[in-house]
Amino acid sequence: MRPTDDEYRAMFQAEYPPVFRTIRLMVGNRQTAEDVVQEAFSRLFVNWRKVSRYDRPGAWVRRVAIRIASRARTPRSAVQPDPSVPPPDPEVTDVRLALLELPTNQRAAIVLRYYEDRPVAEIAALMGCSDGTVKTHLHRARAKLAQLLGEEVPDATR
Amino acid sequence: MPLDDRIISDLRRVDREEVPNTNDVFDSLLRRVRRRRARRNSARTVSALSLILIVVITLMQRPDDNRGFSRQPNDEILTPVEAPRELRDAYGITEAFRLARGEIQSHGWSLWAYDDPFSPGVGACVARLGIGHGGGRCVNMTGRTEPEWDLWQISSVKGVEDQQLIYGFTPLNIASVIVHHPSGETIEIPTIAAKGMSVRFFVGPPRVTYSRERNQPDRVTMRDMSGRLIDTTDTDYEPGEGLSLPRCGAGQYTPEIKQMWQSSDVGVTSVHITLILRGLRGSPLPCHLLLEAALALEDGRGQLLPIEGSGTKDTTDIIAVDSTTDFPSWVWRNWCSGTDDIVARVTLEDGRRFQATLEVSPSCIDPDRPSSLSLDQR
Repeated sequence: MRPTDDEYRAMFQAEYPPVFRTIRLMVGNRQTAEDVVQEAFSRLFVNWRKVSRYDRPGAWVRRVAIRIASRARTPRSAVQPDPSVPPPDPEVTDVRLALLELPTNQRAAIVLRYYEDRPVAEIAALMGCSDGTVKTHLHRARAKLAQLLGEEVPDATR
Repeated sequence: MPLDDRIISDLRRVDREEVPNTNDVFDSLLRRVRRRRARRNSARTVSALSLILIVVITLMQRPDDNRGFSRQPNDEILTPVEAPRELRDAYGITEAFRLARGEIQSHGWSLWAYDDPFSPGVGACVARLGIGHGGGRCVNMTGRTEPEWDLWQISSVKGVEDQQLIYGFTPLNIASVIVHHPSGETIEIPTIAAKGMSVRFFVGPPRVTYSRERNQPDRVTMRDMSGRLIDTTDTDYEPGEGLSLPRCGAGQYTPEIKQMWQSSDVGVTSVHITLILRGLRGSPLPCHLLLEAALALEDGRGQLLPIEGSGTKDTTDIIAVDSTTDFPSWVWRNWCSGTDDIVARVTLEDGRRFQATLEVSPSCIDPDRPSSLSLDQR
């Protein structure tokens, strides 16, 4: 069956909001998130004939968006702010500001685990790494977040 | 609140934030994709048109007249001859070429090779064009980089008035090269080299025909020439393959000690003692020399000084391309004993000994550490 633009549109309407929110958390800035997600869906559009035959095209676009977001320049609460990087949005909370201090892989792991509530195996598939690597990212990220937020370092991963 | 709960609750607040209108985003996305497609299509069209244009220009400007060189048959450029004795003795090569410069008048003379036989796969030096004093460029034609275009920029020919150095790695077994002098005289220069070796010699100025050449596509003519030459010389094995250099004649060289030193704010930080070997090559071919030598530093009375590494035998593998070659330097550091009357004595494996008085000694850097002498491995 040949996929149609209607199918793509339906897919877009369903997947855009959740992907946007995930990427929004990852990059900390609304404008950057819009650019990243639009780029990911543009690539989905170009590859739609192929990707639409996959079991879960939504996972494909999410994976692409995460990869693009990992390369995007994200605002950090750095001492010397880079003027070329947009500042975090004002509504961003302490946890989300602290999240921006983490390396991109750790940030992605935290968002997928705590916001999207995905199991480790699924996070590994989305990030293109092993389960063990995801666990390591999560462990380090939680320790760093605890330190940044003045919390006690938790004993075990969730 | 436990950390995990705090993270979850904070992150989920994003659900309350507004998401861009998907219809607007969708329309914008479609516009973006269409723009990209249009750009890509126009780029493809421009590329295709450019390619067609290049092909047409190339065909129109093929050197079928006196534009740089005429399309003479390859056998006028390359004449098979019996290999010179040196090639026969060293490699068992029986056939070589006499290479005529032919009508490549405006470009000097060039040699072509596919790789540097002494560093195979490293330099990937596929072509050297020797034009001008010390000029010439090594070009990587196998890569996708653009430097190959440098090769074809031959305007330096214009400034050559007396002699030009021609050198390069040859893809042929060469016996001699024929050069047409501006006077009309033809000179045959013995140039003995096995396939893959470096060759160099001087010739008089080329017969340059600027008038039409300057407005003509030198690159095209040179490319055409290179294509023909490489076609001609493309044989079963790569340049230098299977060849091992002949051994340099034992004892043919004359050693000489040379001293150098490096200074800084604290004085002489190291003294370099080098052995220069003169008269190494008995034939026009490069040769290979396995040399064992020991350097001992002694005081004026012939007593060995307390220096680590002094008197140790060192062996080095040398490829002598020219008749004069340097043995790697010994480096002497950290001299705290105060003796200044120092003699460097070198003993070769054949028992020959020779010496020189050192002009300086290295400064004392650390009295608690021994003075050291070692071969510079760089």
